[in-house]
Amino acid sequence: MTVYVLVALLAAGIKAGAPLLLGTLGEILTEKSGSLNMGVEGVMGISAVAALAVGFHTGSIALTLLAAVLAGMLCCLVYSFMTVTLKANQLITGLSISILGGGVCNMMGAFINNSAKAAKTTARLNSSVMRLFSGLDQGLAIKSEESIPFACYVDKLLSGINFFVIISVILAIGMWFFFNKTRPGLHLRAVGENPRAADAMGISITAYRYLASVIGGAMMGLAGLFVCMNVGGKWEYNLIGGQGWLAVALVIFARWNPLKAIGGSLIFGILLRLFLHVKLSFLPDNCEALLMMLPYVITLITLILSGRKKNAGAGAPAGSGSNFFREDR
Amino acid sequence: MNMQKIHLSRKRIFRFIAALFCLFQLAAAFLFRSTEAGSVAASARALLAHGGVAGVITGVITIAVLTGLVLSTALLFLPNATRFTGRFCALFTLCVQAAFSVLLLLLCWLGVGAPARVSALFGGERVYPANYVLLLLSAVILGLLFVSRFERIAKKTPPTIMQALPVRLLAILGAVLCSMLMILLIGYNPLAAFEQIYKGSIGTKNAMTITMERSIPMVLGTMAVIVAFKMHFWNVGVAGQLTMGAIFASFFAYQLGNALPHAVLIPLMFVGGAVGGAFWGFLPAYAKVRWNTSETLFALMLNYIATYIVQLLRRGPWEDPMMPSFGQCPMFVDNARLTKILGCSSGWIAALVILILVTVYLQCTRHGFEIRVVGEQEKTAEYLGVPVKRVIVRTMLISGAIAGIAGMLKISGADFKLNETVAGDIGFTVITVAWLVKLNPLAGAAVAVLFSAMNKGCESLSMSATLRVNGVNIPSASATVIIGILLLFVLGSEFFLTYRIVFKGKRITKGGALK
Amino acid sequence: MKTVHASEYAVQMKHCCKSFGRVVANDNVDLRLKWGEIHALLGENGSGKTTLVNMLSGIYQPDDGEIWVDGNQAVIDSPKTAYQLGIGMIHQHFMLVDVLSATENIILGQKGGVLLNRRKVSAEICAMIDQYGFHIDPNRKISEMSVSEKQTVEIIKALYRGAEILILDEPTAVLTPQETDRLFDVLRRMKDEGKCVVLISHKINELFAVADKVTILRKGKFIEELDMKAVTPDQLTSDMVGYPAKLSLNCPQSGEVKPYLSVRNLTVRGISGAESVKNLSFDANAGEILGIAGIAGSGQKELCDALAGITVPENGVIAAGGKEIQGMNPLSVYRAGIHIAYVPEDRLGMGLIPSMGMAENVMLRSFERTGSFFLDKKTAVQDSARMVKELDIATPDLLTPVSRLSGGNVQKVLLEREIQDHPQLLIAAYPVRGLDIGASYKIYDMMTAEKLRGACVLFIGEDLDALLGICDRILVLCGGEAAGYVKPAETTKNEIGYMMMNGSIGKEEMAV
Repeated sequence: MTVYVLVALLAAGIKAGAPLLLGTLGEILTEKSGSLNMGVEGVMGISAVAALAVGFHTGSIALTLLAAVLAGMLCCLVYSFMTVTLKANQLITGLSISILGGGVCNMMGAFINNSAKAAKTTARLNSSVMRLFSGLDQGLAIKSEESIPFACYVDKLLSGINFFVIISVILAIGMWFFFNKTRPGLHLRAVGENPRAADAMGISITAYRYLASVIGGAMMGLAGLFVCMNVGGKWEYNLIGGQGWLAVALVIFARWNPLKAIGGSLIFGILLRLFLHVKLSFLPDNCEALLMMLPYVITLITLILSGRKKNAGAGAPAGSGSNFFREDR
Repeated sequence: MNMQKIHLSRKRIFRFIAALFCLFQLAAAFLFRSTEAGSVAASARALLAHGGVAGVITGVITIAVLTGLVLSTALLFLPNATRFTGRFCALFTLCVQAAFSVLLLLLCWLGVGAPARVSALFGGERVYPANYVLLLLSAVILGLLFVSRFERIAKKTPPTIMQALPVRLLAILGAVLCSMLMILLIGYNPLAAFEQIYKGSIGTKNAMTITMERSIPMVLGTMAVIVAFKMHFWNVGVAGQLTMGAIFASFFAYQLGNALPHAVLIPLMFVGGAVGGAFWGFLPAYAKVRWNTSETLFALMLNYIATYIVQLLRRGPWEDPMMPSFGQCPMFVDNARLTKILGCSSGWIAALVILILVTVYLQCTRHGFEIRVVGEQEKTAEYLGVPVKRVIVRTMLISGAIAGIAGMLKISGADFKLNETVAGDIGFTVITVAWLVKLNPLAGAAVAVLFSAMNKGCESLSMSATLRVNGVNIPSASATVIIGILLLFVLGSEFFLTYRIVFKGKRITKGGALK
Repeated sequence: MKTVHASEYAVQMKHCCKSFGRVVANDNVDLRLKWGEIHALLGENGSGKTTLVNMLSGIYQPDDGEIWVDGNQAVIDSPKTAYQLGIGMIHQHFMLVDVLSATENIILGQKGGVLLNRRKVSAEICAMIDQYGFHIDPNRKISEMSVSEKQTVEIIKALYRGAEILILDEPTAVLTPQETDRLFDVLRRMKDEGKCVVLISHKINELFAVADKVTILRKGKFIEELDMKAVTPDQLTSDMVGYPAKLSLNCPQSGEVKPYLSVRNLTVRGISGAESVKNLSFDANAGEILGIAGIAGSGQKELCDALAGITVPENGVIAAGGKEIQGMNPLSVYRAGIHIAYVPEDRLGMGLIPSMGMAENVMLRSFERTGSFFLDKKTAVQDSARMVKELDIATPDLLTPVSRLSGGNVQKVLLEREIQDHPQLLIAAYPVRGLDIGASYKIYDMMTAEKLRGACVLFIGEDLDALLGICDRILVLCGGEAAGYVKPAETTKNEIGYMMMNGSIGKEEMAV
């Protein structure tokens, strides 16, 4: 295993971790306010297909991004409407959104694909929109630069850093700052920990939960767009393929801490790409499936380890998962 | 007082905007044709030209609605129009819009014009953006009115089943209308679509057989979910348990397919399926009991792992030697396939038996009661001597086993080979079914059959030659979307059964009635 | 420091009504509160006191009636509005976020810059602490504070928001006598500053110490407003319960008193992992009621759970009727012949299942013990029908979820179900919490009857008067350890209070 392979794996891991990080950050924000949104997978699916539709028809970067973000926000708006206003069971509502989202993604994706095929074209995002996906190495010609040591390694590493990676890291740091150093962040944490107390202090549970969900939805929307770009800017059956659930698990792994989520998403990203970059000689040829299983197995182990610690829910907002009704007796 | 004044002027604004709408509709109906009023009038004219009963009915409805529109507009400007509040006008406008939409659907069904894209449906005009913008705007106005008069919500006494029925039916109706809207928006005739779904699911004998075949794993999956959910153990890993059951059953089919007589092989596969599913259900239960992990996420991860195990097997040891490097499993030998009874695989007998067993188990046995108690309150269960950990593991073993049996019945009754898609959408659909029927096994079986019919119907929708626009059909994933919409509507309708909305100015008497 | 007010009345509530579904909590209630006065709100559990003040604090809204604050009519539609009007409430169940510090809790919901300037806020709060003579460290997390410190944080929260009208809901329920005195000093200081203080309580003797006026509520209705200087305790009690009552608790002697329960060196860990019960040893006799006193969190809950067989103790021996039962699960204990009945503190959380009806809840006790595979629903239905008649329980039918019954009825069902078996050991944890006086005394009678029948009764309570009234002996716990035994006839509330706070005073030996 050469250094180059390792660097390539690292770069691929950084890139693959970006949607996970975005999804996780969105979910951390939502859960910190006391809403347990299990529908990340569905939200990502809907945003992916919405962005594909808009991007395919208009070819504009700005509109594609806008479509992804708005679709995610709309889905989470529906979620928070159902849980905060209509006070439905959070877990089942989240599952329904993921069912619905998966269905919409498959249905609209197939529809767009077939429509395009019938019109003798293919439905995909064009290259100018795909620029968001490509790494920094495209803009900077480092490979041929003699003066920078390990030029090819740096170049390879930069190929893993794209727009999404940068945005997600900025968002993660910003979120950490928000939670710990600002007043609204303190209020949000209170809403998640003890909604009754926060309400008695005059903090609007409804407003904070709605805003947290919707802004979280924007991040999940970006994650969905990434997944679409990851398969070449087109649609595939079961596009999201469980990455939404990985994001939900990552929230627990990172103990609801945005900074830890950065590290966690990197680890998971590397695991997701392991099967592409590494050929383990002691395993038979066709065991690609084994390597692809790894992220899920690691998640299982994570869940076990997190549950074991004495303060098991440490970090888990105490009020999450239940709806708030002021006049509850 | 200050508050009163603002209230009044909001009323005036609403009324004004509502009046504008009505005027616009009227004008468009006779002048511009670019709203649905115009197109309805045009289509009605065309239909009247065709003649016949349908034409007459449509004509009558059109005239009635347009007359109502004229009346309401006139009323707004009459001297004593102040008696009618903006509420009435906005509500009426919304009803008018809704009535027009229904009328449109009616016209589609009657086949005015060729069933084609929406624009062509309405006499060649680019109609639908304007139509739906107006509908949206009037809904927004109604919403604003609602918000301004809203004071708070209060909990109300839980309704009986009969009292709850209208709300539930409305929810289902809402879901159906929403699905129709979605189909309309992507350019298909929704009534024709639903007709095709019906035909394709139970319209022909062949379709009915396939639907029954498909409903076997659905019913069993629903039972598996109900057993676990009653314990408040959110077993979302049914898909994985089903897959594992299929894997274990396939083991016997592939290794011993020809070595054992049919009457021995099938029960062996049955047991294998149960064991496989039980094992996969045991894992999240053990993890929960031992390490207090989240059962939802754990079971979900196991779903994906199960699919990858299938992939491993079909590319490796179980690869079809006849088609090397294709990476597929071979088909089952006849010995390993279930015999057909009444055209459908004999699995339905097993499904029926299990259905009855589950119902009795949950209602009449100590185990069933333990499951409920553990689900409601673990602490109390512990104190009462219920062996909580044992109950959790035992119940999940049963739940997983049922799902595993579903997997075995599916591959040896329908699929006849092992593939990743054995679980398909079943995993999540059965969760929907279980929640919709509030964990009642008998109702769950009925709804499961219904949803299988929906799945089959949407499949035939995706292949029908008549419902094709520009060579493109509605994809079969529409079944999942319709089911998802239904679940959301039913979840949302719970609100109206638990809470009551109190508007400003209303006071509550002692005893809870509004006065 | 007195501010000028528009009216002499801080708050006037006129004809206020509030219902929850079919339950009428407040029926045409009037309340008049003056500035510079400590006004008590007296009533039994369930008389509507908390509901009434929740309408002042913005958590509930009145179905009918008017509220006037300082001479202006007000609509208090949210806690925020209440704060803007200067109304601050210290709830019975604290509204604090455990993972945050006291400072952070205090500033929640306050307007301020987006960025948190922790140092400035800390300084302001420390100034307030000094002003009123509190003793807390504002930078500690709430989860690390004692109950009385948490209550102090709640009071500071209200004062920080400029509350001029303070409402305290049953503040002394969780305090020792010494802490109660300190609280009353603070309240008097606020009264001197011209604030209006509302004190909700059902402990009559406390009101004589600190209140000026008292408003009495009974079954949701306003009865009267009285001047504290002109009434007697008996008069207040009678007005509170509605019939002339000279409430007294008595402790009849049982004929046979034999040793039954013996606990040695018991150590139990609580949820957080720390030792809640430390090396505890004590004895209890059949034919006696042993009271267990202690401030909240002294290990009572963990002790009960260990005795009932729910948690496995870390160390120690529990012997009942001569057999060692520590660590055995409840079913095995029962099969070994030791019948233990447990009425837990959290009756709807642990004793009964709220969503099940009475018949099913009665079945809960026995279904596991019979060992049969199929359920016997008929017997349960018969038993519960009998219970409804004998105990005069108001329920529409046997299938109605018990969560809709009143607290008193729920407790009666629970206790009756537990003693049906004629247990040898009855553990009752806070059995009368939240019950009205009539129901409370019935429960005391039921416990005394069990004692006279020869059972060994453990009564964990927080009302020292009740403990002194019906117990033969009282074991005082402090910090998970035994502070000593006292005999009701030979001790005072203050002595017990001291032992609850500080542990053994060396006077008593561990008399077996």
